[in-house]
Order: sequence, then structure tokens, then C-alpha cells
Amino acid sequence: MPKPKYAKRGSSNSQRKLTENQRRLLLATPETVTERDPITRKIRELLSVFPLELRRRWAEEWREEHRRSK
Amino acid sequence: MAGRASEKQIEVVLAIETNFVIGYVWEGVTILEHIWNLCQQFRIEVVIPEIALSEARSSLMKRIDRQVEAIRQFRFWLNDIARAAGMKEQVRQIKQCLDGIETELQRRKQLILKALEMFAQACTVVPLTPQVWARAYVRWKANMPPFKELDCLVAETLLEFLRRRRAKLSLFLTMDAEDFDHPEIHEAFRQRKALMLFDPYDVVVEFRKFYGVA
Repeated sequence: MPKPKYAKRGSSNSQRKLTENQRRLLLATPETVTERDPITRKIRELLSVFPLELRRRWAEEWREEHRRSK
Repeated sequence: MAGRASEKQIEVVLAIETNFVIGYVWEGVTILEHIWNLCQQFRIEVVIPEIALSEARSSLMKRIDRQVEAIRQFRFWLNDIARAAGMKEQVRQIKQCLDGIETELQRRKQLILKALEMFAQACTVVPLTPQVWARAYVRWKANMPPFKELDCLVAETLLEFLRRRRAKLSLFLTMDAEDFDHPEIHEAFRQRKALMLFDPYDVVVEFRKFYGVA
């Protein structure tokens, strides 16, 4: 059978098969996602001894240092 | 790393730098956690220059070391007090407490290192080669964007990686628009078919478009 002259409409993107879970995750707003992947869970567990306030302060300090660096 | 997708399976590459490590691993910023989660779910290759990882590591270690150093200074003054004021017993008790704090700080240092190691194992860490270093040095010395020495190393490492590695979608996320948002850098990434983004939400938008759910 000869090849059709023109490709079918629609990009290859739309042909990617996504699971329902992947689709839901992709469309979710970050703030509403409650489940964490195993790596994030483990990292949060390891760093839970550091208060949030300290983590924010150190991150801000780093940003400021980086801003001033040459 | 077990579970990492093979090169053949990789369709999307997300290159990141120091501010992602600090934001995701250390601060736990929600949008960055979300992006990480998406990368895990969709087997998106997360690429980080070795130099960026090392910058994040040294930044956090430096802060713990600063506290350890403060304790050492404190001990020095306590020795002075013990001798001059005859308060040996009180000073001994305080020193005991300080020992406990120092042990805890060393333990916390290990926790940070472990968290960073766990993160690094799930990424493709691009080494700093002498060739990349030389190009970055020239870029920095010639006062070309991104101007800062570390940023030049990051940019050249990623450009070299993207020259060899072509994915269907390549993104570079840096929240540092001040240093990276220059036409020359955009063009260099564009030549490697990569898009440089400054807003993490734009990464999600690009993922949605790519997977056809926009």
C-alpha cells in the first residue's frame, strides 16, 4: 500500500501514552500535590532536624553571597 | 543508579544548577519538589554540573563549620574564665554541653552530605573537564556573560553536555536571571536545541506541552 502523501494531523506529542496518574500529576497545581516521590521523602526525613526558618535563612545567605561573587 | 532510564528511553533532559539544589534539597520549595516528582514519574533526565553540586555542598558545609568554629572559640574563652575566675567546675559542665552540641553538629553535617548524595545519585552529574574549564576561564576572563567565574563553569559544562546529548526536549532551568538572562547565552543554548528558563512554572508548562496535555 502506498504511503499517504501527508502525515496524519497531530504531533507525536499527543500520541505519547500517559497513565492516568501521570496525566493527573502533570495537570495538578504543585500546591495540591500531596504525595512525594521516595527520594524527596527520604531527603525531607534526613533534613527534618533543621528548622524551616534556618533553612530559609541559609538559602538566602547563599543567594546573597552568590549575588556579590565575581 | 538503579531505576534510571537508559539513554535510549530519555526523551526529555532538564539541566539545573546550584539554585535548584539549594531550593529543592535544602529549602524544600514546593514547585521544585513538584518538578522533581515529575522528572521521576516521566523518567526525565536531570542533569547537573559537578561544579554546581560542589558549590551547594560547600555552601552548606561552610555554615555548619561556622557553628563548630564558634564552639571552639567559646571553649577558648571558657578556659580563660576557668583559670582567672576559679570556676573550674562550672566551666567543666558547660564544656560538656558544648561537646554534645559539637557532636550533634557533626551528625547534622553527615545528614546534609547524605541528602546531597542521594540527590546526586538520581541525577546525571556532568564532570568538569580541563577542556570545559579552559573554555570557562576564557569566557570569564573575556568578561562574557554570565560573567561570574562559577556561572561560566556551569554554562560551559552544560553547553558541552548538550552538544553531545540530544533529547527531544532539552531545558535548562536557572532561577538566576540576573546572571544568565543574556542574548548570547540564550543563543548558545538555542544552538544546542535547548531552552533556557528562569521560572520553574515555565518548566511545568513545557512538560505539559511536550506530553500533549497543555
